Amino acid sequence: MFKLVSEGISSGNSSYQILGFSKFTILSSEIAKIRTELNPSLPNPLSTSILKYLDDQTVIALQCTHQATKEIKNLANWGVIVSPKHPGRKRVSGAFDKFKLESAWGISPHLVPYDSLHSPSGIVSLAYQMNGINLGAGGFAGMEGQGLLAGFTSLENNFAEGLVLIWTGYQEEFSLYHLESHNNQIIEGYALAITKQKKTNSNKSPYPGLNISWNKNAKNSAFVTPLSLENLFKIPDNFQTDWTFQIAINVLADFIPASI
Amino acid sequence: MDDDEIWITGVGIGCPMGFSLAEFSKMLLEGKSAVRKVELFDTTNHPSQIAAYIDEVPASNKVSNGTFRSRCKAEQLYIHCIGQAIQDADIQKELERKNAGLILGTGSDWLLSWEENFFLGGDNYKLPGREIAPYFQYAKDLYQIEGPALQVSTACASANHSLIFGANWLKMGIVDICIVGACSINVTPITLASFGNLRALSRRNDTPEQASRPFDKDRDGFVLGEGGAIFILEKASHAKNRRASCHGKILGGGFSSDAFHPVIPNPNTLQIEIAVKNALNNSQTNLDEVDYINAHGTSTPVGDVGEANAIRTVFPNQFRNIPVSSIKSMAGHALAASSAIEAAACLVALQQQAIPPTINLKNIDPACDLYHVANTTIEKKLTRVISNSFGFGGSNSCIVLGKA
Repeated sequence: MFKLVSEGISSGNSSYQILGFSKFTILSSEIAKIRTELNPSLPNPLSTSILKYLDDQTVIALQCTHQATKEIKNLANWGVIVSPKHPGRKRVSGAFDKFKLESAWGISPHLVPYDSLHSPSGIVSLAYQMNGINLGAGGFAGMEGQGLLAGFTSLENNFAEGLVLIWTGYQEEFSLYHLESHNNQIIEGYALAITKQKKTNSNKSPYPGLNISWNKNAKNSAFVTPLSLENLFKIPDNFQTDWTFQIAINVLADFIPASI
Repeated sequence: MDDDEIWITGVGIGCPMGFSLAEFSKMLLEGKSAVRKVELFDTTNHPSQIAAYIDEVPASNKVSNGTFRSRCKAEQLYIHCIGQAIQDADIQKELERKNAGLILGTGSDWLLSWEENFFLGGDNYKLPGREIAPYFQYAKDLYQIEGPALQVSTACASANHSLIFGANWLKMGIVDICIVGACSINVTPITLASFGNLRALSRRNDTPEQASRPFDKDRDGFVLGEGGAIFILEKASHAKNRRASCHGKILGGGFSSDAFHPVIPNPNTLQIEIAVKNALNNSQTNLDEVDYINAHGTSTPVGDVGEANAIRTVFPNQFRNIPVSSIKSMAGHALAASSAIEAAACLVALQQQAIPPTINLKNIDPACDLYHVANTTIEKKLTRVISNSFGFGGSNSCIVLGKA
């Protein structure tokens, strides 16, 4: 059991119920296959014209959502927050190359809708018919904790009944000069489906609770480094996000891997 | 006076309509368009060749001119807007002693940085580990904002989310001061081309100042804009303790998602209505207490009709008496920063007791039937106003602002 790492004077704390969790770690070369096989798992299947433009990280986000929400019957009042890492790099690279050759004519109209920070959450909300808040948070390596921060703020203020929090990214960025090596890159995604803890049925979920406490007076906390998404779930004793969130997931160290 | 009210005690603005609230206010209430032919780069093959854009961000006295000019335009804009807001609120010393948070709306800084580097002959976009820090980071360090930081994106609704998240952080006691808003540099070759090829932009290239015409029968798309606005938020009790003045109050906000399409707004406007109703409930505002609606009003054929429908549905007995306008007719559409600039416009309206117009509204589209403030500013007693913003990905947002 991880200990609650909150120390000092807290301004408050909140408890959440984890209703589902997922983790996907796959090779980049597998994305194409997953993309073509996504639709049967989606409550609202996506048109081919949408599917083919999805960024790799959005594909992973959809896959993670499926696993994390499979026990949840109705997602209509849920929201989704995705923290990707620099999505869109491959397509933007292609766009620049095309711009050199064709100028404005060569630029895809799909760049902004599919490759921006808001894109993965928008697509997940569409595919899973979630009408609560959907937003992208962070977006940069080292800013993964912002997804949790945004999620916590949203749940505390009832912007959604529950939230799917998703983190995606390549384990290591790669050179686009050597795309052949790209197929061996590992892309990963993690998702948590959480709601505010209800006192009446707090023991129903097979998952542990998530407690977040915050300390207004703490400053200059360390960044989460190294930047692997794993850090969000391994939760070292001194875990802190890029500010003061001191998080304790009251889980056995091996609980989450066992639940995959 | 409720000590828990959220006050806006500082405003910093930088956009094609001005680099101070006074400049912005003048152009806004005079109903002047900032849209013009793009001369920043060659637009020969661009379907849309017009925009409301910034030539140069005024230098900041916080850093030397050389240092300031060495930063990219987006960073300069953050330095300007955050600095101006801090100065306006007279809060720099408080920032060093108190816990100050930062919540900013954004699009995708890394895409812009790669583009900038590409046009300078670089290849950062192809190489790993060349990602820049977020654009706000330099200003954050410069002004010693050391509390929690959060960057959120709901595309064109991003800044509204930052304002409401910031207000809630204050209410929850996470921070003493919260700096919110958004800055966005959008008028670049790739962004103009991408939106142009999406057929989202107006092609009235010969008459730029008449191109953005929300709710007009002859509208043909939005006009790209850019800029930003940053706000200092404090609880009333905190502000009063340091004798700060109040530009206006954040009373509440509401959100929802269409879950319909990545780009196209849902013709069934239920989720927009829910966002507006959530905002009204959250701010304890009755339907007949809304004195003005600052519309998202992008000037796209589909979007404007949907918003008008939603307004009529939410305010069935009131809509003929609630003035509506879209400042995108003058400022263009600043994407992630649009709702920040529009929140600043709402503050101007509340302070001046005057509603900025939708210019170029010559023939109101019957499908957009509302009480439009067309072409000329009107004076009106304003206590509570709302500002709508909707974004790609189906994000809907509405905030409620109150008079100081």
